[in-house]
Amino acid sequence: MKIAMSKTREQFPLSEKKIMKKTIKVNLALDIMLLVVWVIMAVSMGFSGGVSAGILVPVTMAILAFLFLFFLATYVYQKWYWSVYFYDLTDDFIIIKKHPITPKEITIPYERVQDIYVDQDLLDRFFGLYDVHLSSATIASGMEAHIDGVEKQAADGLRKALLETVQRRISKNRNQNLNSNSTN
Amino acid sequence: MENNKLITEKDYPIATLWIFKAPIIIILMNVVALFFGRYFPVLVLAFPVYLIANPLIRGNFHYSLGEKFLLVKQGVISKKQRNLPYGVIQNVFLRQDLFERIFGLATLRIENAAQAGGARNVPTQQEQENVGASGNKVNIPGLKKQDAEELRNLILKKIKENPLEDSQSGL
Repeated sequence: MKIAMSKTREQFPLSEKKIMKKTIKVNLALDIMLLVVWVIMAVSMGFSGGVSAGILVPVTMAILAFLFLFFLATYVYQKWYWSVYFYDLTDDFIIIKKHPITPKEITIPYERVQDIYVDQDLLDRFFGLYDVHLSSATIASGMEAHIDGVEKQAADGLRKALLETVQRRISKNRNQNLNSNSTN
Repeated sequence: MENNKLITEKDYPIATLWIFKAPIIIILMNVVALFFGRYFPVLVLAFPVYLIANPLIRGNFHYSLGEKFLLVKQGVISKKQRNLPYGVIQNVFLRQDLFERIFGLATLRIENAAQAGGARNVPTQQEQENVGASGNKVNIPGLKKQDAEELRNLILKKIKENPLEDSQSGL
């Protein structure tokens, strides 16, 4: 699969572990739910015994086969998602573009960045991954503008690069304004 | 430089196909449902609404990329006009839902920090279809993908040319 590469992604790459992490995250909920259903079924069949107990094994096999296929399908989709994930810190803007089927792209000017933070959910901690979030003054940017699934070095690098660029841009603007004000 | 020409919705119009988006989806849904022996007649009643409302909305939506402001005029029954300074644009979204992806269209959305940055309404799927300015955003759905990209680049250029006096960031 062709990777959506950029200078930023080369420098601060998205970890391949993200593919497995997202696959597990999606499958976990389904696995737990089906496990609960199966336990209830097994217990009730155990009590009734006889014929109904006989179908427990084929049903279990069917559930396991379904889970396995679903796991594979999720893995393939997450690999596709990982390849298409694009982020770039250009001279003037931060561009993040995601989603293989219904692409969503967000562009934020550096001067509008209000907030940069890094976090990890439970599975991230297990895999050693970090999510870098940035937002401007809108709720939608807080929800969409994030680069998730980078390892520590890339997360620190991205955070540092973003902070430095934002500060540099703001002081450049301030100096330009001061200069233009003083000549007025 | 050709900067004298004012860019308006005539240069990057909402595609005619956008008018038929909901009817096409309803037809497809019914075709698929028929395979399962079901049918949604009620939805077909919505056709006239879309086929009358959408052209009117599209016809009454105007925008122009002025020197310092993005001017948006819209409204079929009640008219409204908004001026958005480029300097306060917070983010620019370019997205394609499934229909748009298949038919080569895209939606461009520009957000500013008005109305608490959109805190009151988290954007829903329905809101994606609303044309024009509402709340903290200007939404232009149904653009051809190339038009959407060019318009996005033009707006980003205007943002770059119009920095604010004071920075918005607390950093």
